Amino acid sequence: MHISEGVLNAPVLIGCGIATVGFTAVGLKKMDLERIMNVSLLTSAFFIASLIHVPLGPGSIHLVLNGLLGIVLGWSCFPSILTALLLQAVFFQYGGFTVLGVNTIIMALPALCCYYLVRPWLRKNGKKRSIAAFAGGFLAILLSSLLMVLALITSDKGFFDTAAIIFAAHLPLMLVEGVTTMFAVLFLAKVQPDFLHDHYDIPTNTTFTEK
Amino acid sequence: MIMPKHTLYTAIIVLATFILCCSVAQAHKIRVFAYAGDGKITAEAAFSSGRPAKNSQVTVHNGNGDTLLTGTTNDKGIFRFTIPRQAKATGMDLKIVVDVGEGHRGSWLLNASDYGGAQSADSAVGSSAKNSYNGESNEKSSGEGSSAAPPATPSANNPNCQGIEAAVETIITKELAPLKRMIAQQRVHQTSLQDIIGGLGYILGLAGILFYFKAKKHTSSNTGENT
Repeated sequence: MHISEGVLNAPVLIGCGIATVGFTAVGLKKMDLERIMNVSLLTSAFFIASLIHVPLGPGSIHLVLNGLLGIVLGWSCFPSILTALLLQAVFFQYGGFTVLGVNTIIMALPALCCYYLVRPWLRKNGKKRSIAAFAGGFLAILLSSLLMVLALITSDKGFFDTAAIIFAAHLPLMLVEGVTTMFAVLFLAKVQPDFLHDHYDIPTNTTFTEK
Repeated sequence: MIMPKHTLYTAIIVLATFILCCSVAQAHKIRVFAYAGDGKITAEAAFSSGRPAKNSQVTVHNGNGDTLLTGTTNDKGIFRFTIPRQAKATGMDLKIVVDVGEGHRGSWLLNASDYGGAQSADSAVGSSAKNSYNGESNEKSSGEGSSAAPPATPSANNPNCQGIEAAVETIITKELAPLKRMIAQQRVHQTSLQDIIGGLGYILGLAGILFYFKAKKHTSSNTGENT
């Protein structure tokens, strides 16, 4: 999922860099004191998940978990994913510094979309919650692949064929992520329902309690 | 918000499992490394999971970014090419870029001294006037572990000497090849447990910094309300 350095051209890099700064600022502003620990825990999960390797597809694919981050963190997923990607670039040599902005947009923007699309459904108990969580993980990778294709196409038209391959390569990952996100959300709902609370909801949090 | 103890424990257990998984599983960075031997350069490309990067496009650049040659890797992720004459002559550094598609690529910088760039240029010229110097340069290059000069180099007047020299050179090349491969492979950064724990430490530290600033704002706004 990480685009390497030297593949994209300057306008895409700069544009995404500026967008990342803006989104991250909003995310930081929206993060309140009580959520910092949630954010850092999920950042750790995201940081490490990239080392968990799924031996599927023509290349090699690893867990991304951006759907889970989006669902749980909302806007805070931007600072979270940016931090995790920075550390991955430093420690694991994934991506790189110049492509940090692009990679953040590719992974965090779909996460934010999932937050708005899926989050309302998580109030429901039972099957609806499972399906919503699965859809969250699935959609996040689907949209990320779409953004990746867009980034590669705008940089070089010759990449169109590769772009088609990206979808094929990420299809198994979509399923894996869907299942992982589903189990993670169900686990959180059972063990730590606080994670799934909207801070707007806190006065009326009765809808969230487990049966 | 104070976490219940059992939640904290589960979180720690989950993280620990993640870390344990990591020592086994790896991810998808493209590892490229190259070494010289027998007048050729061998470049190997693999995903960090160890799977070879098959049929990937390889481009060899010189220091200025000009493309010298291109090719594709074979089934084992290996691409072998003869050292370009101009690169050898001018002793330029070679940058080998492997593009796997999907926006993934890896590169490897092979210094001129690693494949005996400028030195073997002398032997390529091959004038007999340089004989004494040539022997010295060959000695030097094998001492450095690079025997890029082709075995058939006419380096001595005595035909006997020439034969022995060629034979020694082939043997040394053969014996050194796995060593060179190992050394090149070790220069590729491997993710270690320290990296993972270090990264987690940074995340915790950043969370602490955020706590500090948010708490500062929090208390100041609280006191503002109280007064």
